[in-house]
Formats: sequence, structure tokens, C-alpha cells
Amino acid sequence: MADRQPPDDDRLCRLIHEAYEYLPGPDMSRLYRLQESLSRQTAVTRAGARPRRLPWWIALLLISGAVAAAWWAGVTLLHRRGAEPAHRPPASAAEAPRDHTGGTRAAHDRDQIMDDSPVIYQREGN
Amino acid sequence: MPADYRRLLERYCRQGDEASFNTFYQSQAPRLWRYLRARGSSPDNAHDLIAEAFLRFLQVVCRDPRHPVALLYRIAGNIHIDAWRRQKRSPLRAVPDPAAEPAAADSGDDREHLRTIMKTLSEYEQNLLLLRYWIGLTHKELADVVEKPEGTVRRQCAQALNTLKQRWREEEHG
Repeated sequence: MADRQPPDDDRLCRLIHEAYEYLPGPDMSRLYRLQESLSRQTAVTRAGARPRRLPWWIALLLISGAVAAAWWAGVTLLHRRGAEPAHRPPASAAEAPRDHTGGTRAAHDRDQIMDDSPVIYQREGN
Repeated sequence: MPADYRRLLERYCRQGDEASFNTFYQSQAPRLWRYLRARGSSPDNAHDLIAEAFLRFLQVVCRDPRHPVALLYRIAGNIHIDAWRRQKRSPLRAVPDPAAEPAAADSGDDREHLRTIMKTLSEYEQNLLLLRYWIGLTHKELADVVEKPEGTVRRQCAQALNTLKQRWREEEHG
């Protein structure tokens, strides 16, 4: 056996590469067949994984529906505003116009009637 | 050229460019077959493992195509171990295939001697040296493959190389 000194690190690394890189290779025809089979499978996978597009007619339907709803809402709002009276009578005492003292006009009238009345005291229960 | 492989796979994933994948396949499949043979698979078995490895590779590579070669060898290594467990036999004790022996060349003796000594290392050490110095993975990629910190892998590679030299010396003097 020839005397082989252990090679240095660089030589050893190159030798590892050469020792395996130049081993006899595989049956290339089998690898080609495998490649074709992989191509077929990836084509199927890609077709299956492709995100499905929303059909154009569904998109059109949704958009036209949204536009119609917006138009209807706008028209209804305008009609309501047009039917509203210019001056609405107060619905309650709280909404009645207030005088300068801060009380309501109804309360003021009521006080006035009580001031003009001859009865100045009336016992309860009589 | 890791950057080229990365670009190829990115093109395949983003644009569905099948030619890019085919280029990657043609450059890697024969070497992967030799790698599996070096790890003890029979020629037929190596073909089957390649098919399975590339199928799994295609399922996951587009999630992160930055290190495609490392990913491929990681998958192939795992599949090889699974197959070995199923067969219940050590890959290092596989029946040697005469066809796998290299043709005589100028430094063929050294290569053959190296392969013989490599078989005395643990399977883990063999794998580290093959992936680092044959396949050409970086320490970072290697760390991803064997799932260990980069510093640990760097130290283990140096240690495996030293063990290899020591065994070489022992072979000569023993």
C-alpha cells in the first residue's frame, strides 16, 4: 500500500467533494421520467391551488344592488325632508317658548289666574 | 450557485415558471441520488426516495424559497431515515454496490481511501461532512438541516474533519 500522509484541511475538503461527486450517476432515463411526472403533478397542483375568481355577473349584481340601495335611501330622505312642516307646534311644555324669567308661558298664565282669584286660602279637604 | 437556485425557485413560485424548476431538478437530482447512495440506499431505493423528496419539496418550497438546496437535502435526509427505520437496517451496512465504485483515476486511490475512512465515522459526522464539503451548504444552512445552532455545527464540522484526519493516520500506521 502506498504511504499516504493525511492531507491538510483544504486538500481533505476537496477530496471529500471529488470522492462523491464523481461516483457513477443514476439512470438518467428514470430521472427524466420522474421529472415528467413531477411536472404533471405540479400542473395539477397549481390548477387546484389557483384562487377562483368571482364571476363577473355576480360582481355586477352586487354593485348594481349597492347603487340601487344608495339611490333609494337618498330619494327617501329627500322626500321626508320635503314633507316636513316649516313650523311645528310644541309637543309638550318642555318645548314651549320660555319667557324672560325662565319659566314657561303656561306656568306664567296659571300664576296670573291664581293672583286674580278672590280665594286666598283654601284648606285642604274642605 | 445558491443565489441562482434561489432565483430559480422564486421565479417558479411567483410566476409558475416550470422551466426554472426543471433546471433546478436537473442540477440537483443526480447529485441527490449519489448522496442517497453514499448514505446507504440501494440504486432503486434512491430513485424512489428522490421522487418522494421532490414531491414533498414542491409542497413546501414556495413558503420560503431562500435556501432550496438545504431544504431539499433536509427533506431527503428525513425520508432516508424514515425508510431506514422501516427497513430496520443500518444505511452504513448496506450491501455495497460494485457499480457505485468509481472508475480508476489519477487520484482514485485517495478518493476510495477517503470513502472507506468516512464509513468509520458516525452517520451524523458523515452527513455533516458530505453536506458541508460535497453539497456545499453553508454552516447556516447546515444548521437548519440538522436543527442545531450554527456555532455548534461549525464546531462539529471541524471536529469531524479532525477525526477523519486522525482515522486516516491510524489507517496508515495501523
